[in-house]
Amino acid sequence: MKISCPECRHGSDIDPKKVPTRTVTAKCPKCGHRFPFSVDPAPPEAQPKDEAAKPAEPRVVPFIRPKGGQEAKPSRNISFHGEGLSLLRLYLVSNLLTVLTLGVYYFWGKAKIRRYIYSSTEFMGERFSYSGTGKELFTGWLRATAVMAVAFGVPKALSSFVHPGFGVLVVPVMFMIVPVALVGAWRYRLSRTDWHGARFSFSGTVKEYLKIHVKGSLLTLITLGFYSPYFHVQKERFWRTNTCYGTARFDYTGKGEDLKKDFLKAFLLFIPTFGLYWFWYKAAVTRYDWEHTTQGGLSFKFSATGRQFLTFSIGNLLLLALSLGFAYPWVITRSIRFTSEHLTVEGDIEFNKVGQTAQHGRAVGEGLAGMLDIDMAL
Amino acid sequence: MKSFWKAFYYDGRTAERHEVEISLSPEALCVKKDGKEALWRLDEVDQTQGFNKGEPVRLEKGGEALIINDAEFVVSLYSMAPAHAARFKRPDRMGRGVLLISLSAFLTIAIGLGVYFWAIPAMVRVATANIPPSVEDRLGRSYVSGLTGMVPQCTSPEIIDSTDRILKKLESAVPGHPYDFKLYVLKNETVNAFAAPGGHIVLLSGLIEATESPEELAGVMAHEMQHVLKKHSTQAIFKDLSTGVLFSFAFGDLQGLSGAVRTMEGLRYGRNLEEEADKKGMELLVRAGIDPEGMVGFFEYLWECECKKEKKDKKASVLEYLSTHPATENRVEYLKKNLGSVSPRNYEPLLPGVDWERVKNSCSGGPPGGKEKQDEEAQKTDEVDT
Repeated sequence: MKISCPECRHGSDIDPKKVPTRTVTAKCPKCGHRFPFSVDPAPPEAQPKDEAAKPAEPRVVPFIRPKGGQEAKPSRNISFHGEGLSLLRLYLVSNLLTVLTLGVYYFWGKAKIRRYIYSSTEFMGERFSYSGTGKELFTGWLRATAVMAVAFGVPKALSSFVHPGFGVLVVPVMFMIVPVALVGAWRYRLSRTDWHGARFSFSGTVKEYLKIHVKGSLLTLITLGFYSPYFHVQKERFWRTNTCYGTARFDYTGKGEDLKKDFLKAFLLFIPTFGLYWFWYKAAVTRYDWEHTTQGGLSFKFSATGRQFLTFSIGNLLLLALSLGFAYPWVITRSIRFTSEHLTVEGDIEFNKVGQTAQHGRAVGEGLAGMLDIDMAL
Repeated sequence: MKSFWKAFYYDGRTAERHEVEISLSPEALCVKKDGKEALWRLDEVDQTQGFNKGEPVRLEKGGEALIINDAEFVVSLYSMAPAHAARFKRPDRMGRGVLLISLSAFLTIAIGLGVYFWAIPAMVRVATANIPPSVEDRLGRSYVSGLTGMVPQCTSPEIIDSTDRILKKLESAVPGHPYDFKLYVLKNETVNAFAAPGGHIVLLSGLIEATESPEELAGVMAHEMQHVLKKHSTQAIFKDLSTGVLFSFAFGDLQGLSGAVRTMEGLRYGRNLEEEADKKGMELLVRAGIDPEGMVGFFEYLWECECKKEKKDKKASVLEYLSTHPATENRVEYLKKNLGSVSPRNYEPLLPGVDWERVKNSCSGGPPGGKEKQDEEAQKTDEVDT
């Protein structure tokens, strides 16, 4: 089986049995260029008839395609047009008004900042649009405060007036609160996100996530962490397969077994590399997750390597430390650019087959997430 | 000026994008799609995007949306339909707002400083003046309970008895105050004492051991009692809390609000309050008939410790007291001057017949690594303890 470097076209023969089916990073022996590539996991007999004439060797799919190569599937990136300075203005004005209104404006400022970030993000020539409002965030926060007051106040009152044993009621509440916040926040945020004429939505339930969360946390603890690749895949499957663009659902085919080796390697190398290997593990997992995500005719590829993750994180840290936090808006724009530059989307969407969904989802979970200081990326 | 614009139209039912042509009239927008025309009344249209440079204009009406990637469109709208212009924002007038950035940064800092140096002190003053003693008592108790939960209390009956007697004597000199003074003697080598709101006074055994007479201890206690009576500790807690709230706001850390777990470190007073407590404390001693020389002597001893700390002839933990009670040379001099103004008289011993050397060490069994004499004392007190 031949692999050729997308940079210098240097080719070499490799035993296909030695190449794992997931994406790996290869280093060209001639020019030193690093490029991820993968072997099409589909066995030849499963391929459609018209492709059966091709050689039985697995097809090599270089991630960065050679220039001028004939491609059936178009490949695109998300582009981000936001500027740090504009974001800084939004943050400063929002902070000022928050102080002047004794905190109330905070929610309106947050909605404005989100609107700016979404509006600056473009894919296939179309901007994302955020329709959430400050009022929704504010009422969501008020509701979340009421929920917290009842959830923690009732056990406290029962334990101090009836019997101290009622204090244990707080334990299930503590277990519940993070899944409620995460699922609620994600559902709210997606339902306010619009792109190319259709809204996103989320159909996962708290109950479903709670099951994964409790089972996964316990098993990870019992197996000293070795369950965590399986736990990770279950969580990703929950988040990705329940996410819809209009009526079209995302799909995720990841399996815990595939990440087992990566985890073992990370486990063994974590201490000798002073924890730095974590970045390489994170990069491998992120690449794996995106490669196993599809949406209708779309497939995804993520190209960031561990070294890129590391330099990106160090850059953010330095920016914040040297500017005493004032460069925070640039950290945000860098983060979005990091994702958009490394995430490639292949294929096309049949937009006329994507229907609109009803807008639902209240901002209660969002309010809880805000209180617990959980932030979810776009 | 253009009269037609190319735009994208979404009907809100599917994700399909339609190319349309739009034109403007003073009251409405005409959307021409596949040869058919639809009117969008301008007062029903909302602009949801196009507020920043390079961002296409997005107009929404119900579930439908129009996207016009032409900055000139809104400029034309301004001249064609001035009555509705206020509903739309001109994208060509979007700057990065450097002026706005500097202005809001300046105002934020100015407000922050104003709140810190003016609003918080004013609020704290009002709150301190109006707080009922029962609330102060509860506040103080919660502070002290945090400390007594971590540090064991001294169980020596002699110390408890002696300190109570000193407290009674001092209290008799301030009749009619609303507080119920409570003493806590904690087993800790540190030379320090605290006053929490509502009359909760904490003495660490290290401080008691550092005194050479009951009069010296009475001086410290009188000083701490004045912190309570003058509500210094209440004021300090309020200031600490409100500054914490301010900072958590400034850094967007809302957890800071709930994490109101404060330590005794919060009970720091400024130099003015310390001097007031010194002066009033000395007056209290004189009124109670206790020799104020002891108080001056003890503060002088602490001050000397501070100067000779390299020599290590006294415990380094004395520094702890100085960190929460800034003792400057001025303060000692000031106390000495005050002492001069008090008419000299013959004071009776505070605790007659009490062997202070023995009593003061009865709690912890003497300072570690001290003189031989103190070791003997320690052995004696061990017997007392067991």
